[in-house]
Amino acid sequence: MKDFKFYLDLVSEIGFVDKAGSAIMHVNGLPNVKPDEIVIFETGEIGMVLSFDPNIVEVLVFSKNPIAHGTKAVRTNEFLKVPVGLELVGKIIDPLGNPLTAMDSYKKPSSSRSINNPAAGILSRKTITKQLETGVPIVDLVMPLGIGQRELIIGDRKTGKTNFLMQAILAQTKQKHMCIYAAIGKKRLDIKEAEDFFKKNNISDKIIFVASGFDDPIGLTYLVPFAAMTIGEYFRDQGYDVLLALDDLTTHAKFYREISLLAKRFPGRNSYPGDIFYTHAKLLERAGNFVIEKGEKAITCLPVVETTQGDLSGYIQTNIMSMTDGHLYFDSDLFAKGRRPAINPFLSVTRVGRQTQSTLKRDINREILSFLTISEKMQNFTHFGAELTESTKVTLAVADKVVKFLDQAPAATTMPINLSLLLFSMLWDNILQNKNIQPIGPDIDKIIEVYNSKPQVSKEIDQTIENTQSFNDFLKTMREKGEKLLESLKI
Amino acid sequence: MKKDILIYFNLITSLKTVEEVNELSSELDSLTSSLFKSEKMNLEEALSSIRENSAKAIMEIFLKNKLDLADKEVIQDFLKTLKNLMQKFKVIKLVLAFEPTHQTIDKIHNYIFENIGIGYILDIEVDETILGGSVVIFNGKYKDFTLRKILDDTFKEKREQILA
Repeated sequence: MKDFKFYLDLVSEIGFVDKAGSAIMHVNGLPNVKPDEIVIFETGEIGMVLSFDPNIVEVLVFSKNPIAHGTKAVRTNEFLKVPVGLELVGKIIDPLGNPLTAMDSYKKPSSSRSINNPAAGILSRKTITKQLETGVPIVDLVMPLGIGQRELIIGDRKTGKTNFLMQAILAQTKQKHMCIYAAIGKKRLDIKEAEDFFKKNNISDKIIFVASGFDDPIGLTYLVPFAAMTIGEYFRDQGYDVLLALDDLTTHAKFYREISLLAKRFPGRNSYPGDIFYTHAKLLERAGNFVIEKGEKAITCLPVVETTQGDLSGYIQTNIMSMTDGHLYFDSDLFAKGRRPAINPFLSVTRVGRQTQSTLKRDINREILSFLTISEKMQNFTHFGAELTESTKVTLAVADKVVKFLDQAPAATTMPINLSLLLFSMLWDNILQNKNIQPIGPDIDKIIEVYNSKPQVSKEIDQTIENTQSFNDFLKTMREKGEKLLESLKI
Repeated sequence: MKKDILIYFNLITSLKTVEEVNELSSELDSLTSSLFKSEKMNLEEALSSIRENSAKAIMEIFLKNKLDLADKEVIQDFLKTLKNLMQKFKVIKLVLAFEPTHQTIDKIHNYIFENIGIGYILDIEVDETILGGSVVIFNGKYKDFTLRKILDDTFKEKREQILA
């Protein structure tokens, strides 16, 4: 972007700051200004036109520096663009492409894309057919997600939502997908923690981290998800499958509410502006599974929304639920009970994930879900203090094992789907056969490591799963060579 | 009062710059406050609190149009209409390379009066770096007729010729 003088000579229109607020400047002049046009102030600050009438232009400023009354402003005939390119990979940037941390090697990409691209039409979209591997067994087996799905991550604060995103990103970088993490109005400490997680797991050079802090200008924070989506679209068009995590949209809505109230727009429900639904819908509609020149490529979007005391019926919460293809509910009660991740499978929904599953996976999915439903009912029954029958005790003991299997410490472990299938089937078979071999416990990290590092072992497992048609067949196979496979995974 | 809007003509056309308008505006404010400080205060007495030129111009309007100097309602109406008219001025901002004399300002203002009409005032800023000519800013439009720009453009276009 050129400087103030350049645009003044080019456009020959000028305005003067008439009223200065913390984020919104009222500028008079600029007779031919357009909505969303970029405005540059003589002091170097950049802003975007929010709205205007014949006398006054409202400009949302992307800077914290105060702008004095009477400061000159010029319109640019340009719309907000985000620098895009491979240079962004491995970098932490703000939505305008400026580095957030000291990065010697960073050079802003020369090409850029408009931040407000309209969502692609129905003709360029395709049914979701491939499963997205998150590395989290309860999601991959019970609540499967598809590549190109928009799945809402919802729950109270501190219930492990960000940890889940981190694990999903970790699993996806292993699949060579392009991962973008958008931290919206986060605390500096949280941004640092996410950065440390990526560094610790050696994926910091493989992901793009778009962030704005809680104390950054509200205009900048408002742009974060749009900038991240624009970067995602660029990489999709370059032939990558993209995973985009938006952490979180409740904060985004709050910042947008602040902007709207400062701009004196009429407040609606909970003081949010009337176009909050439109704002989020036009963002999330840009994700999906697309057919482009380079084939079928997808932007999988995982927006996060925070609830208060488990209330799923809030305004922003229900809005975003209606825009997404399901939601994973992180239950604070389950979190308090020590379940990790604290996903409540009964209150979670995946609308397109199951269509991506093979028959075997679907069988296992049904088996787990129906068993968990039964055990949950029995668990509730025990609260009455009634004496339990032997069969109930057995069911509860099995439920304990299944839950333990689905539990996963929020450490940097991601379990490949095929390994989850194998271990679960083994566990299930052992339970049926009343054996005492349990593919769970402290050895799990080692098992995953062996699976990832020994191609001959993983190949054999993958082949076995590929050749199996149903869960019953798979259980038979496990009975025959399950122990041998488990041994090979423990070496 | 509305029918006599032309009575303000001489006073309005005598205002040429933003500074003059601001000064007269603050004088009108002080005139209003001093007039209503006490019951007995009349316009003649109150006019002593403002500049002689302004006082003379206002007095002239009252005498010429036979307005009642003791009727406070008439005076208040007069001051209010005058202030409203002054708020309707359109500002033409000029950036010049030198501090203009009164004669220069008069000349520029007369040119505007003859070519565009009544109701325009000048906001003059001095910036020696423009070397000569002027920048004209009006209604959000910006036109650079400065010597600096001409030289800049010439250096850009004929750089090689100049440096050869």
